[in-house]
Formats: sequence, C-alpha cells, structure tokens
Amino acid sequence: MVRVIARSTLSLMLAATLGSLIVFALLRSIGGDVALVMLGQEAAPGAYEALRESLGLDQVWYLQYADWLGGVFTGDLGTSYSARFDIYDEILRRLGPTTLLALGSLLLSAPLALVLGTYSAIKVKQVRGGVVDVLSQIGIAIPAFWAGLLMVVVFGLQFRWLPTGGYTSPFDDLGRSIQQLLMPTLALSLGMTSVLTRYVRSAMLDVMGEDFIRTAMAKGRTQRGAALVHGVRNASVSLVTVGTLQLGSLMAGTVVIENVFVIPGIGRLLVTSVLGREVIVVQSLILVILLMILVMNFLMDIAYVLIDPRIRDSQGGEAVV
Amino acid sequence: MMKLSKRWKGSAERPTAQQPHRQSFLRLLTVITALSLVLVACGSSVEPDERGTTLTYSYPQEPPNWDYLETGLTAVSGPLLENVWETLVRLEADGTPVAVLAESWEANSDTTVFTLNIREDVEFHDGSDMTSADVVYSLSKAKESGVSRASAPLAGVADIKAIDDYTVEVTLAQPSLTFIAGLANRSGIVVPENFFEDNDAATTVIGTGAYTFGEYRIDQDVTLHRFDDYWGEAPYFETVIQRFIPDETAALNALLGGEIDFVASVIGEGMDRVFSIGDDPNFTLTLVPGTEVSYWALNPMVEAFQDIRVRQAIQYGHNRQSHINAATAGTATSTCNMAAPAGVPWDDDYCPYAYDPAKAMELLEEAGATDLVLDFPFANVAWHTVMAQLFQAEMAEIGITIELRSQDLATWLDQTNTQSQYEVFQITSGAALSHYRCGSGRQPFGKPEMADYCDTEMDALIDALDGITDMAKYDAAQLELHHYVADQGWIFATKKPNVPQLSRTDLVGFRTHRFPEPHIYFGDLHWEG
Repeated sequence: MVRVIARSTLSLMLAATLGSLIVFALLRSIGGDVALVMLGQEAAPGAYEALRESLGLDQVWYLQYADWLGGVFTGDLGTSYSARFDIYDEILRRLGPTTLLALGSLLLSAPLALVLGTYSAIKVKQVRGGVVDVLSQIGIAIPAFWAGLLMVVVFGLQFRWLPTGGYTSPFDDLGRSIQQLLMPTLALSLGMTSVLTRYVRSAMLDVMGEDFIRTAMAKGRTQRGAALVHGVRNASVSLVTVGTLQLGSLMAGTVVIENVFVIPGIGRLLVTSVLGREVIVVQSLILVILLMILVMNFLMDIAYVLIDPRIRDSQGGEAVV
Repeated sequence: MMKLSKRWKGSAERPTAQQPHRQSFLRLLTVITALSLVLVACGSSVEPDERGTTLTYSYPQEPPNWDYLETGLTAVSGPLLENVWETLVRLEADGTPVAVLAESWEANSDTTVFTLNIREDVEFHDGSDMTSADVVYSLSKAKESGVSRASAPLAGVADIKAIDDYTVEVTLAQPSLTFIAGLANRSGIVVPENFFEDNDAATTVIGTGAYTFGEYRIDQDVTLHRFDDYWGEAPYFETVIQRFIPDETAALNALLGGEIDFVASVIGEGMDRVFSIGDDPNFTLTLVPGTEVSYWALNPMVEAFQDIRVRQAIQYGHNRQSHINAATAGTATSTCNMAAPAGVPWDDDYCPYAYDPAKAMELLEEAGATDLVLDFPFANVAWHTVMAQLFQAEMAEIGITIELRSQDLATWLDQTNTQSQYEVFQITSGAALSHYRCGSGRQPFGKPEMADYCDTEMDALIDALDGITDMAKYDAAQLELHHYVADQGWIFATKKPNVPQLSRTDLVGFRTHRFPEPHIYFGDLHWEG
C-alpha cells in the first residue's frame, strides 16, 4: 500500500511539475503579461519596460520558472506580481470554499446516487424505476451553471429563502455559510449525482443477476433485501471508480459555479489569474489542484479496500487499482 | 430472477410487504418537509429592505492592486477617488474646477505660473497634517508615473515648489488653460510625503477623504470606514462595502435579492435586463453620462488607407445607431466627435461621413479598393464582441472583408494595443484628443513604429492648444482639432456610452457625473425620507 501511494504521489508530482511548465509556456505564447494588464491601455511611453524590469519579468523565461520551482521545493510559492499577496496563504484561504463546495457535492452525490441507482435497478420494470432513470438522464443534460441560475431565480429571487451568492466562512457564521453554500452545492452535485446514479443502476442490474443474489433470495431474502444487503456493497466498487474519474469534472464544475455564485474559491482565483497573466499564481494553482486530485484519489483507494474485502484480503491491501 | 419475482408478486406475503413501503415513504416525506422548513427558517434571515448605515454595492472590475501610479485600470479609482483619496480640485458636471484640497488658486497673466493655496485643516488617515510639502511630493511622483492618467496632465510642468507651509507654486513650460482642471484626476491626488517609499502602495492606501481604506479581501470586497477626523462634512453611511461581482447576472440577482443596494455599472450581458428591472418601482435606472468614447482607428501603415476615399468609405459604411442598439440596448449616444467627456464645449454633432452604404461603395470603386481584406483583432470584453461582429457585417455590405480575431484583454493589450498588429483597431477610452499626438503611446499615431506615418497637421493643432491663453479661443481651437480628426478618418468615433446604474429607489444623492475618471462619490448618498 505504502509503495503504491508513494509511486502515485511521485507520478502526480511529476505531472504537476510538467503541467506547470506547460501552463507557463502556454501563458507566454498567447501574449500579454501582468505588467500590461496593470498599466492597461493608458500606459505612458516607456512605462511598460520600466514596470517589467521592476517586477523581474525582464529575466529569461527559464530563470523565472526555475525561481518559482526552487521556491516550491522550499515551501515558498512566491508573491503575486500585482496584488502582492503571498500565494501560499491565498491558495490556503481559497481552499476553504472550494473544498466545502467539492466535498459537500461529493458527499451529497455519492449516497444519493447509491440510493437512487439501487432503487432504479430494483424497480427496473416499474414506472418508478423509469422515472428515476429519466430524471438522471435529465440531470446529466442540465449544465451546472444553468441549474444554479434556475435555483437563484426560484429560491433566491422568487421565495427569497436563500442568498443569491457570496461566501461566509463557517467559522464566522455557520448559518449564513450554509445558506450561501446550499444552492451552489446542489447545482454542482446535480450532474455528478445523475452520472453516478446511472452507473450504480447499471452495476446493480449486473449484480442482481449474480448467483449470490439468487442464493440469498432462495434462502428467503426479498429481492430488495438481497439487493440492499449483498448487492449495494458490490455495486459500490463501480461507484468509487466512476466517482474517481469524475473528480476532474467536479473541479472544472467548481470554476463555473464559483463564478455564478461569486464564491472566492480556487476556481475564481484561477480564472482571474489567467486573465491577469499572474503566471506564478496559475502554476501554483495547477500544482495544488493536481495535489487535491491526488488526495481524493488516495481516499478513493482506501474506500476500495474498505468496500471490497477481496481486495484487502488478496494482497494484504496492496492490490488497489 | 424474473420467475422468482413473479411468484412473489402473487404470494400471500405481498400485502404485508407493502406496509414498510408506506412507512419508508412517510419517513422520506417527513425528512423532505423538515428540510424545507430548515430552508424557510434559513431564508428568514435574508432581509431585502434593511436601511442601515452600511452601504453595499457591486462593481464589475477589481484592480490588480491599489497603487494609483502603477495601475492604469479605472477600477482603482472606482471606490477610492474623492472618497479615500482626495484631489486638489474636482470637476463640476459642466467641467468647471472647484476647490477641494486646494482652497483657491491664482495664475499669472500668461497662465504659466500657478499658485495653489492649500487647506490648513486637513489630516491624513495616518494622523499627520497635510502641508505643502505633501502636495509637492505627490505632484512630483504623479509626474513620473507610468500611468498617463496621472502623468499626462503634469507633462508640461517645469517646476513645483513650496512657498510656505500652505502655498505651492507650479511653473509650466508653456501656457495652459487646462492645468487646474487636470488636477481633478489622479495627477492631483495628495498623499503624505514619502508615502511611496515608506509603504507598499499596492496594498496600503492613505488619503484625506471622508472614508478610510479598510479591509480588502481579494476577489470578494473592499470595505471603507467613515473617517472621524475628516475636514469636511461627515457622510451619512458609516461603512461602504464594494463587492467585486464580474458576472453581471449575479450582480443584478444580488440587487433583486436585497443583498446589495446598487449596481454601479452594467455594460455587458446584464444590459438586456436593465430596463425591465428599471420598470420595477423598487429600483431606479440611471444612465450616468459617459466619460469615454468608443472609437475606431485605421493603421496608418496599411497602403490602402493612404487614400482618404477608403477611409471615408469605411465611415460611410458604418451604421452607428445599429451599434448603439445592439451593444448598449440603445443607452449610448451616437457621435462622430472624439470629444470626451460628453458635453465639453467642443462636443458637437459634426459628422462628415454619416451612414450611406451606396456612397461608400462608390468611393471604394473610385479608389480601386473593391476587394479589401482587413485584419481586426478585438478585445472580447464588455460590448466589443458585439461591435466587432456588427462591423464585420456592415463592412461586408460594402464589399470589405473583415477578418475577426477575438483576444482576451491581456493578449489584446500586448499584440494589438502595444505591438500594433492590426489593420482595424477599436477601443473605448476617456483620453482627450490632445493626448493622441505622435509618440504619445496611443494608437494609431503614438507608437514608435508609426513615427514615419504621423499626422503632422493634427500634431500642430494639438501643440497650438498649449499656447492659447483665452478660453473662447481655446474652445474654438479644440473644435477645429476635433473636426479635423473627424474629416481625416484615421480615427472615428461611434458612441459615447452612458453607463446604466441600477439602485434601490430609496437610495438618493448620486452625482450626475463620474468624470474625469469613472468613480462613485459616496459623500451625498443617503436614504430618502
């Protein structure tokens, strides 16, 4: 297990470094830099060159990159060029809202998908099963931002139950924080719940045809009982697999949802940093996002072991996917 | 499995198995009802009609930092100009300068030496008293700034010196009738002596205004607090919070949801909703007169443009009103005159090449330019995308092919605005036409690569402005310059945007203008009644 984790950590660190290098090259190739953005269209002659020099942007590219990379290994991500914030501190501050959003969405989606997918599979020949099936397809088709806007109109403007956007830390005001995060979390989880429901349904339909289900039913279990006691656990492995694959989409979804609901998370910082050509902030963010995915993958690996004892027993817990 | 299911369906167990189903359903219903009640309970804390002493509003842009001598974007001034930073003078709606930190001023007969009498009762937010040394320091720093809003009005300054603690003398290299008015912008902001050496101006703001710079949360908001030792009248609101909401839909929703008191400007995707919201008696739509002009420029290095008939044809083919309707929902003012802000004495309705596509095609035929293909990179922000697409369509009608290139702002600033990689150029700016001379840094004549293509006649008209000491003659000379530029067709205006602002109807006291640089003055704002 330790070896597997070490290997996947190393490969993701390499991917993160490579990713940051690609981002660095891409941002340089599309033109514009932070000095131009700061000065805007009203720059006086010679001002651009002077500002570039004062920001250290006149250095050759590989020295700029090496400076940043060297800082990463010493735990110093540097300071943003324009706003002068400490990048590490700012990312840490932004991680709060994004983590709450992503984790909340994941924690909502996974159990809901398990319930709905199982229900849909058990009721596969009935109208109720079909309704869940159709709803999940609609959920897949609805973009998160659109669902978010719809919720804002209904719950924020029509009923005025919830604020239309913004973010308050749960440590400052828990009630307000829940109010503000409820709609974005629901909007973000809609697509994921639907996708996972489809997969759970499919997995459950497969599992329901297995011998052990038939045996359980022959021993007196009802169909639902057999499905819940023996089927769900087996189907959960595919839920974890698909859930892992969906993490990238979840992160992409937070970028959109954070903008719709004006949440100062990692996604918004990424967008503003790309537009503002804060290259080292973007590089640092890419690194952090990849690390987040690494951590979530790791948690999923543990989930595999917990869900399926065959994996744990077969190689002493080392045979994670 | 199917067989087993069918057998069970008819078995005697079936009726008893229904009971837990109903119980589960009831449990689910209870949970849903409870959740709804929690939601309703949470919702009760959203108070749309609160009238406290905190003013909250949204602004679409966030500045890269707060150093007004380093950051050119108007987002720096938005909440701070006149509220936190004060200038030596400010401008009335008709452009007349009135006293702020400079209590009065005198000029010598040929307007080359200005004596500024500084207020004696002004305290900075750091507790120090303002004296002429601070004014000399601030003007000197502004003159060196890379941001032309700060440095351009001081370009002609030869010397700045303190006569005594509250008197400053400024000597100009040439006479200028607009020097005092120029101090209403960033050039006239007064900060404590050595402020830029002792502080990081990117994150620290010290001024003399009625509000102090409070908490700044990147990507969220900036909070201003009322300054107890302010020299002037205390404003009504104790706290002002400007939220950065770049998504106009989100900003308008926040207004409708009662979370903010006004939306300072709507210039993008929210434009479609401003009139419907403005029809609601709870909200007031105000069209704030524009400080800027949307205009086009043709690259002087392009051979086809050397023939004035081609330049004229492009203007004849340009339907200004359709741009105003499509890009600003009809809220802008049509113009062919580059005068900014709207309403200055040389702002008139002179339009030598008004929309006439037949005339345009005739001129192109005469000039032998019937198969023109022009490169048009545009910044995909605000209304520029709509304008670019419309321009492409209207040029197609007269036989000119426009190749559009959409660029994000940073790329556009680099490749198009700085490196002049364009044939057709479009921008919205509040800069005076006198700042467009050869070598000024502005398109189309100000870049180094354009040095051989400068319009010497235009430069002569601009230079002549500096020597005029009579106001009527100055206005006439400005008018001549603006008409000359319109005639030449290298630069042609389309519209003067009026900025839609939506506010709660019971919030009153807004200024009718926001120039010289877009900003919102909070000093007069209060609840009605």
